[in-house]
Amino acid sequence: MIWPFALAMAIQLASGIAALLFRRSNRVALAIGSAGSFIASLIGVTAAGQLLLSGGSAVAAMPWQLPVGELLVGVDALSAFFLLCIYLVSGLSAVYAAGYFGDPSDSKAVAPKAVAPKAVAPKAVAPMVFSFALLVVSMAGITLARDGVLFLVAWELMSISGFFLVTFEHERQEVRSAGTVYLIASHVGVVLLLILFMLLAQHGGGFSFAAITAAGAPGPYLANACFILALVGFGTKAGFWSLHTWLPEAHPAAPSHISATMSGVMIKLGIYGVLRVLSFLGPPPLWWSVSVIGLGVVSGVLGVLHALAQHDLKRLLAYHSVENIGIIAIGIGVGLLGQSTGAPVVALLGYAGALLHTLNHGLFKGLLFHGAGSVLHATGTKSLDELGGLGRTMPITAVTFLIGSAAISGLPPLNGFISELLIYLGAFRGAAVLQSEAGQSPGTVAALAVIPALALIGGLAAACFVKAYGTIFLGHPRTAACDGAADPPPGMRLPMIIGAALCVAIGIWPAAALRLVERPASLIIGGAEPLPPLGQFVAAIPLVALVLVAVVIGLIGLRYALMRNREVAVGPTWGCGYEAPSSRMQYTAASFAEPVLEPFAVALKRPVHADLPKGYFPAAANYEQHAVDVIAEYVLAPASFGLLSALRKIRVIQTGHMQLYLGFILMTIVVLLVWYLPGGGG
Amino acid sequence: MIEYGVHVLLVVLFPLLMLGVIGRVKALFAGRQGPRLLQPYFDVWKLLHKGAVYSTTTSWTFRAAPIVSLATLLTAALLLPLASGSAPLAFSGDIIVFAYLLGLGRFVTMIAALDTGSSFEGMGASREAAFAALAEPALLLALAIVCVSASAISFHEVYAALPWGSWGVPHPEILVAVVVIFGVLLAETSRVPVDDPATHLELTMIHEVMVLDHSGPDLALIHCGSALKLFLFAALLVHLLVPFPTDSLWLGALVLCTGALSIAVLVGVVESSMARLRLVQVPQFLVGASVLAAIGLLVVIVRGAQ
Amino acid sequence: MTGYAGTLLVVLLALDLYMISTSRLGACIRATALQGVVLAVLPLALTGISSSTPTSEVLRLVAVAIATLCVKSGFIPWLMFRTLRGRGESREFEPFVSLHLSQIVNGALFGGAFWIAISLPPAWAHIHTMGLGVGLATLFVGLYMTINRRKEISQVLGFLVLESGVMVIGWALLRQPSFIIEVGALLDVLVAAMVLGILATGLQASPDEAGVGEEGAQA
Repeated sequence: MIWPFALAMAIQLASGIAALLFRRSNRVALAIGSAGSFIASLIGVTAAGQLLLSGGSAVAAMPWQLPVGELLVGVDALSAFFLLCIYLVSGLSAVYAAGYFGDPSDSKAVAPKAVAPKAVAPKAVAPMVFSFALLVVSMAGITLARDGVLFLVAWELMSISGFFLVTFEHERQEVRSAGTVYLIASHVGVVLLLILFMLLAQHGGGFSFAAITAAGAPGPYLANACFILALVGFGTKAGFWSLHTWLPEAHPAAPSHISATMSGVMIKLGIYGVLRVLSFLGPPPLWWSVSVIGLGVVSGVLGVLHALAQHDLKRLLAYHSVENIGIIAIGIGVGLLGQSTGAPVVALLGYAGALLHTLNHGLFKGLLFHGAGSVLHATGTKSLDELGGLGRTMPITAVTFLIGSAAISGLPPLNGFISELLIYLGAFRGAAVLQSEAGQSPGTVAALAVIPALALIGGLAAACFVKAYGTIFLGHPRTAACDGAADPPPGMRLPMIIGAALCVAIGIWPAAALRLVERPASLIIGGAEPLPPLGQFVAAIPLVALVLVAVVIGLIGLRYALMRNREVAVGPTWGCGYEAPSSRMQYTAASFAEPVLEPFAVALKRPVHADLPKGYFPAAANYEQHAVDVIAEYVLAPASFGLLSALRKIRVIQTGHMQLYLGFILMTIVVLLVWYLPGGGG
Repeated sequence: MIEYGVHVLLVVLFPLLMLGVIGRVKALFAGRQGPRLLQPYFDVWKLLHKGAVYSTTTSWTFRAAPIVSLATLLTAALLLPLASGSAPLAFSGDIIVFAYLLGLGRFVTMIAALDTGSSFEGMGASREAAFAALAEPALLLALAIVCVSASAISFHEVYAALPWGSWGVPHPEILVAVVVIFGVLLAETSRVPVDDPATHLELTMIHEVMVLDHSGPDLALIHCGSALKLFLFAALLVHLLVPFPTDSLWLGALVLCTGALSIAVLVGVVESSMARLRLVQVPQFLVGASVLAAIGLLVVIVRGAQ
Repeated sequence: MTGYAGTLLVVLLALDLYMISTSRLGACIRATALQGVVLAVLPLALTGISSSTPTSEVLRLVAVAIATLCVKSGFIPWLMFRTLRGRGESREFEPFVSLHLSQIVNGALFGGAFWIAISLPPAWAHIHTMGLGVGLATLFVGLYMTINRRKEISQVLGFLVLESGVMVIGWALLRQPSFIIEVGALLDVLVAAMVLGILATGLQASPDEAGVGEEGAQA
């Protein structure tokens, strides 16, 4: 059962290397890379889907040269689910990349007119194609790894290939600094993961997952330590609040299909890591679920608030990734709650909701980033205040973006609603179960806090996407950047259409998607008792969707019948009698977000720099407002500056004089000799 | 079968009467005689027979929005029990589907408002977004109060579990839920103190300004939609306040209609006796409603722990 | 009768929430008066009057209720309205913590109060849990109002709310009205009234004397 995935990885890697060989010609490299990725994705998706529907698992060992660890790979339901997500999103992104970089003269993004008026030689894309192949192969390797060392090697490979992808446009300063931030954040996480795996290996007597699982559940201190290490270490990659600061820097800096893959899948591997470690740690105590729910609520609310304050489309989408990771964390928290209180149905609903939201988010975030890439491709800008009215010139992009927006806001009958419904049901049941047993107050409060938190997150997300969609695609163009915008070439259109279609399909027929989620969820819960099928919880959703569509069609028919012989006039929008409307009189993104953000001013600081005219007569004015990320500005920046200034004091020993360095060497040799020799070996 | 027929009949014919009652009550308070009770029906009839004017800035979104929002409300109406104890579409979790269908209607209306490219509609849409984001948690918390005490997540199960057997003992958490849902009703149907439906100054409108550019049959659909939303919330309140005769369909319909009309009178009284809140105070009102609902939930938890 | 205790306690909490959310001092004073009414009726609801209660007991309960009503819903609000008129102010300006955030903070305080009430050890099982929770919550709210508001009148209001909270805690703990608690509480309230009286007359004598807070800054 592992061989299809091995085949997919081999094809992908081979196509990446082949692309490097043909790097002179961008077209050939891109074609080989995209074709290889697409074929690998097809194999991967079908194999994963089959495995999830039929069950089963396998482990295989391969020869290994290093003294530590063994090359053990294996696949089970949890790995298969994440493999499905990985190959689905990366396949769509590879097709998108073929369209995006295919014809550089067509795109304003790849060769922006503002930067270089003279003809620019198109950038070599072969290294990016190779790095992309490496990224997907390493992500697949992470899910297939059954040994701690192999896991960490694959994780590191993923981080490094991600770095190369983020810094594709390295001639821009902000991209370089974003890459640095990303690299530092990844490695801070990896250090914690190293400690975590060493602790687990010590407990299990070996790095292999089989040995760790066979050693049974660790004692309370070790389990708590591993839990916290996993949460922080994997959370840095996943993007939980306070560990998220690299996300809004790195995702906008990368090319759009890379942002789609990173946001859609790479951060989910943090979730995979958390779930895998949880499966080693045995029955969870109650405070784990309360803390994960709290972390999820904070990530969700603060993530969406920061998203509302952004003017850059890709930064907005990056903060939404933080918010959705928060929702997934809430689902995991509800699952943990079910496990610790012995309510398996609650656990099933929580984990199933979290896993389904992982898949859903990959789909609609990929769709939205592809849409952002199309907008960038057509107009050369991703700033919301320079766009407008693109719905008329880019209809397909507009419709798919609208479906993605509605899906991410959790509106029925799309897929985001299904996963949130499962989490709601889990939370309600958890509260009902806990409420009937006295003395479980923190758990009851946590379960009940999920309900208004999810409602608030959904409402704010809807507000944010109304703002984004309305500012970009509706109304009038705000600047000349929108001239000549058109729908992107078919290579870019196809992944968006497929993504939107999948969002609608999962929303209207959720039972099929839930069959994919059942096995991984039961695997995480463990236990011998059979769990109820998930289909019963969403059995009525197709009927509701059908009724909704039927009523819509009926009303369309009614209106058509009424308006058939009526006079329909067109005219300009009513402007209260104002005779010279301009497109700059429209509501801007910042003004739309202002009333929404105002009650939350304590949580989100938005400093304003205003240079307003004084006196009675009109004069030049200037107004600038930006959102400050609390963690980056008030925690990380002072900490890193403090660290740097402390380290600067130590730097005095590096004087640049060769004699001083020779002196250091001499001193070290003398000290070691004195220390080791007399005792016959220290 | 007859049940479904009565349900559909109530949904289609009754809501506009509530608007008429509210208008009449407000007029009486103001010392006028006021419009006739069936006036909204005549208004909708007139609008259905008119042509339409569309703005050149708008696209298919603008034409689709009134249809989609009314469709979401009609579908939500099928989820809510009206004249009997259970609805045509009843399943576990239908409470959440109900709340989110209302959210879908709001989403589509806001997008259509931005489609006109006018700052008036943009203003209305942004205020609506802000207030809706705060009203949703209040509504779901209030519904959670009755759901957690009933340990069920479906309307018919929750209604069946309401403690009407012990009439002598009052249940403060249900009163809290009712008060909070009434507050959310005022916010969602754009009544004073959240929004004034009678003002026509664009700078002070919220809901009215979002639909400023609609005309003709579109506007008729929108009027029907807002009346239906008022009716759905009123039906929710009536079922929570009054022990419902579930055995007789016609008696149930009578109780529902009387209850809904009394709530319309109450809304009219509230509108006539209060001033509209300043816009910056509306979030306080809504957060206060959420905290009140949280108090109700605390009472439920304490009761459960005793 | 005892069932109505729950409803009365919830009304008390709702009035607390109203007082936190509004900046109009007149509305706050009226809310305190309503709280006085609730507090007057509360002992009757907590202990219950049935046919078996001795007449002296009933008379005592009713007397205490009337006394509470007169002082907390009659005398004190009258005095505060007089002070308000004398100063000519009607609104609390921006408190230290904004009203938005206050609602959330007080929600958390309610939660904390209820949690304390629930998690008391079983030796305290005879107390009225909800009463203790509501009493603690009211006490926290009163303290919060005293700390958070800038005007003296609001601080005195906070003190009165604190006093109400203490009364409710006393009844919840003892489950029957004890003469000592009521007298102690009413005496404290009387002290507050005297302080107010001094404030009122004092300011009428010298309006330029700035107190702690806004007046000096406004002048």
